Amino acid sequence: MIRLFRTLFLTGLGASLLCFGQPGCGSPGACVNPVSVDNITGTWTDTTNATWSLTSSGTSVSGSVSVPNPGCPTVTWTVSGSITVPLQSDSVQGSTSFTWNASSPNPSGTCGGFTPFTSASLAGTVQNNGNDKASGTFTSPGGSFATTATKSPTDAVMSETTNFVGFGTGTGYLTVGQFRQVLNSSSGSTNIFNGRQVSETTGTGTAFDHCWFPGSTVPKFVTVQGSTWNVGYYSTLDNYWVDDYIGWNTFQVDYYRNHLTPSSFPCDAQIPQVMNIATNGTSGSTTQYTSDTITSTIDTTTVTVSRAGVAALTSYP
Amino acid sequence: MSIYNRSIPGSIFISFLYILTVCTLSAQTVNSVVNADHRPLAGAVDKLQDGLQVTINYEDAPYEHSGDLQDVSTPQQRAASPGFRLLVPVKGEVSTVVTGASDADKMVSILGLLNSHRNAGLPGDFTVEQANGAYYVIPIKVKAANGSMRDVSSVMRTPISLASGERQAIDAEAAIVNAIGKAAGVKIVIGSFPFRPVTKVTLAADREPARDVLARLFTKLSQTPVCYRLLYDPMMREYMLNVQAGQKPAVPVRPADPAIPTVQTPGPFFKKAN
Repeated sequence: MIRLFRTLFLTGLGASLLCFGQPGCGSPGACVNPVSVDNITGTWTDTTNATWSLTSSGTSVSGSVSVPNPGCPTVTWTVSGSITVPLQSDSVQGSTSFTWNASSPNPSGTCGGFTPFTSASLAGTVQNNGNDKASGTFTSPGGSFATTATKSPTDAVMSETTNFVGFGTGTGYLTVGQFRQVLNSSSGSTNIFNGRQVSETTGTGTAFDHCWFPGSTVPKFVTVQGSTWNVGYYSTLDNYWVDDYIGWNTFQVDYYRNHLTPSSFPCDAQIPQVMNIATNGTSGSTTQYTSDTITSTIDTTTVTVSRAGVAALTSYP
Repeated sequence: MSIYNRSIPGSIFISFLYILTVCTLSAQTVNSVVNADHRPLAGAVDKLQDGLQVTINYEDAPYEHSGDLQDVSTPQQRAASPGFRLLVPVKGEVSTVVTGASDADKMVSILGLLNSHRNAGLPGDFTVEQANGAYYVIPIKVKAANGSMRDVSSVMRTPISLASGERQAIDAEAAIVNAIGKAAGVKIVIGSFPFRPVTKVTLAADREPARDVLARLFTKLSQTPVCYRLLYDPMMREYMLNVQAGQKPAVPVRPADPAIPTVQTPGPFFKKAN
């Protein structure tokens, strides 16, 4: 795995309650995902009706491929191969090349009038975002042709862990909390989600902004921005998506403190956040994997932010 | 400098467009945009830009006349702090019709909002300009404290200069608003900023309208449309620059993956025995 390392900064200005991601995902909406898949472990079915059961380790791939032979025992080949992960570049969609070589069929004898080839291969690329679609060329002594493969089931997120990183340190950043999330897989794999894309939507739970008043120059925050993040963007943070910035910035905190009576504090805002993860390659399809609540509270001398129950308080000014 | 900058002042042109609109309404599907708010134009352009699929920026007038302001303090706040007032622009309603998708239609719709605002006697007077591939609703008049109407200029059109250099995104925006403040004698604070603040950008400006520089910054930071709402706080006499997502893009039609027929078993892993 080769990915470009970028320095992580602690600071961030959350001019709204949330949220923005890495370069390219800095604003709401779709964005280029430069992170390539670096673990293709799973079960892939291609259009030849072959089922590839693969384990990925670094750039090596191993496993087996099974192909039914009607009326006869299913034939299983041993698979070896590799993946090639390109150098990450912000403006280029990540795409992982692979070669899967099948050999040593078992049983190898003729049955039902068909004899398994002693070798065959599938070479192509895996799309990121969903990490579950591949396209390429199947080659055997009988010829070559285009094929696609689908990973099923797509790796499910068992849970998401929220980590508070800190409050910002620059002007305007001091009241914005920075939260960093890691996706946990049921298999325990620590990099299976690299290349996936996650996004937020507003949930159906209770949302309120008790600091806002009609005519306020600070927008009323009762919905999330709809940001997108690329999992594994930073090479040292496999399965992480970085970061969710939560809280009013200092100018907005100042605004409310300058315009509301002391008795108005503490005032707070809460938004239900639904987290979705991309499926079906780069098709744009997503599925919800968790939901949580984000909050921020302004008091006369402090500001509190929280995500998924992880809270932090800072004194401001 | 902006590539395209067109101002549409004057009631004659507006009247002409309205006649044009009325004449064509019967033949088209008409949708309307209505918004009631303390800054009805700002909310209306939020709605309008989705419908028209255009980016519309908005700038408040610097409200100062008592008749343009409204106290929205609650009884609880006044009871807790006698004499407390919470002054914001008076509430009002604006509306317009969306008649079509041509550039002229879009301009008609936006001008309709401005005319509605004017006819309702709401604070300030506004016009619309085009630049940087977007529309800009900007103030041209506001009622002075003595009750007379005075001309005002868009602070976002203030020419600014920035030394060339790499900055964090948020620092780049701060540099822009600080340059405006210095040149125009106003205070602008940073509000919503929907970007990763520490993204490094290279930006420079040489006596360019601030909005052009800001548009260039947005282009560097986002692959999707972005707009701003520059809102004036009459109590603190300062602006807050809120940047937000622009029009929601129409959902692109993604071409289907090429159909690859499923191969009948036992398929190409096998050879047919002789």
